[in-house]
Amino acid sequence: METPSDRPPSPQEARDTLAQLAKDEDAVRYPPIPWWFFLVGAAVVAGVTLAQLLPAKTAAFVVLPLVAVMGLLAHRYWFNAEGVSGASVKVTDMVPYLTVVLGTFVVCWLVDATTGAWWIWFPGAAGTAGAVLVTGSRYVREYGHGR
Amino acid sequence: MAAEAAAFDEVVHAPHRLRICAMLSAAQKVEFAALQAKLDISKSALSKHLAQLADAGYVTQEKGVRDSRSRLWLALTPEGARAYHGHVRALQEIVAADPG
Repeated sequence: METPSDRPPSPQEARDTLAQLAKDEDAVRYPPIPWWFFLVGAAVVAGVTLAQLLPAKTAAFVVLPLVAVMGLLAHRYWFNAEGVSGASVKVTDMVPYLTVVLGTFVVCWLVDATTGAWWIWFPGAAGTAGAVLVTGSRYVREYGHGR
Repeated sequence: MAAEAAAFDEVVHAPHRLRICAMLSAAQKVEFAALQAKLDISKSALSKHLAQLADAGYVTQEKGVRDSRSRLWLALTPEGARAYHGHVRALQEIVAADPG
């Protein structure tokens, strides 16, 4: 991406520079994360999904610690990985994952509320956990896995 | 991110300084050693680039301790972020104007 500073870059040089900058941003934004982080994440979202079968107050007692554990792990292994403090995630990169997880929640809630099919939360839990595992596998393939 | 005006910035135009700004733009702070490892350049070369960015008011340096180790943390200032994003927009405009 070397360009002389006395002339503007050519379109190809500009394209190459932008690609390099995107890689550099991603190297900080998306550090290598241990593979088990995604296993824990899958267990947490499955737990949060299944907790919807519990009475509201009990569900809160189950969900809050799970979310806190996941938040602490993300804080340690993602947002403040070695050499980085406060990595910023691009919301647009999270959209597919959030769409699947929140969409599954909405569908399960609608089916349960309208038909009384409470068992829908079981396939829902498998779906949300699966989304985390697929996302994690893609993440590790693209950015590597850390310790 | 606010839409900065597209403009080439002489300070960040140099390839390594541009890459430093890219990395710093993705976090609140990045450690000197992490930048050096990702850029694969010498300590003195990185220090020189950082000094130029700091002189322009684009980067701040702060010593801190993490895991019982003393570390030098770098952060992009709002002016630095504006200059970097403006530079990126200028590059994007060149690419967008290319008919090929």
